Amino acid sequence: MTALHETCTTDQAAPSFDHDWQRRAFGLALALSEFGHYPWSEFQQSLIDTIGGWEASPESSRGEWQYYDHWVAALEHVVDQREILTAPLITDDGDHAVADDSH
Amino acid sequence: MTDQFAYPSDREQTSAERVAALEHLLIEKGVITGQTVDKVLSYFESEMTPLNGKKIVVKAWKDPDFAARVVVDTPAAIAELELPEGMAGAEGEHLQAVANVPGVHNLVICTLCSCFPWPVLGLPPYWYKDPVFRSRAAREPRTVLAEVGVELAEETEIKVWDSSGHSRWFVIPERPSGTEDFTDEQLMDLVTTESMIGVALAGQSS
Repeated sequence: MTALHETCTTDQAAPSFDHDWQRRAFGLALALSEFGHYPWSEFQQSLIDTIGGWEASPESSRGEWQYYDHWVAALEHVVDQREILTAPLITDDGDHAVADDSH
Repeated sequence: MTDQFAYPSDREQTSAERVAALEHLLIEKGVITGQTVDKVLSYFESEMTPLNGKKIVVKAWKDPDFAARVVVDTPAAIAELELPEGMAGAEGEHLQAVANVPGVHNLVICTLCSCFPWPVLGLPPYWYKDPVFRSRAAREPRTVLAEVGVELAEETEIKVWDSSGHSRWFVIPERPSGTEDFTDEQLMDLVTTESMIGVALAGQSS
C-alpha cells in the first residue's frame, strides 16, 4: 500500500464508480430508500452484515474483495426482506411507499 | 490499477446482470419508473459534493462561534448554511464534525463498511473502501499518514474516528497560516476531500 498516495483520487478526478452497473446499484439502493421502501439504516445494516460475513470467512474460500458485489448482495437482501417485489404495492399520493412498521 | 483491484470479467458480467435484472423487476412491478434511478443519481451527483464540505470548513475558519457550534451539534450548525437538502438516510442527520487543532490530528475511517458523509463530501475515493487501507489506518495511523505525505510531529496526538451508521465523521482541517487575506473562493480551494477525511492537510499540494 505504499502506492496509496499516487492512487488517491482528488476532488477533481473523483472516479467513484469503475463500472456503470456499480453506479446503477448505488442509485437503486438510494432511490428505494428515498421513496420510503426502507429506512437507509436498514440497508446499511445489511451491507455491514454482508461485508462482515466476507471478512469472517477464510481467505481461501472467499472471493476477491469487491465492494459493490457486497452492495448488490445487501440490496437484494433488503428487497427480499421487505418483500418489495412480492408484496402488493401501497403508495401515497406522491408515489412514496406507505411506511410499514410490521418489519 | 494494481492486481489487487483487478476484476474477473465473468464476475463483472454477473454483477451487472443482477443489477439490471433487479431494476427491471422493480420497474415492471411499478415500484419505480424507468427514470427514477437516473433522477436520484443526477440529484445526488450534482448536489451532494465536496463543495458542501468546503463551505462548512471555510465558515468555521472565518467564524469562531460557528466553529465552536459545528463540533457540538453538527446538523444544527450546517442547517444555518442553506446547503442543498440531503436525501433519505444518506443524508446528514448523523454528521459529526471534528476539528484539527494544534497538537491533535483527526483521521476518519470506516472499519466495517463505508458510512461516508456523502452530503458534505460526495462519494468516497475507492481506496477508502479497501479493507487494507481501513485496517492499516486503524492499526498504524501515524505510519499510513506519513506514507500519504502527512508527516506529524511525534507529540501530535492522532485521533482515529470509525464512521458507522450512527456517526459519520468529517474533519475540519486547520487553516493554513498566511491565508488571512484570502477570499472565500481561495480558501475553498485549499480544502480537499482528503483534508476532510484527515489523510491530507488543507492547502497541501499533492
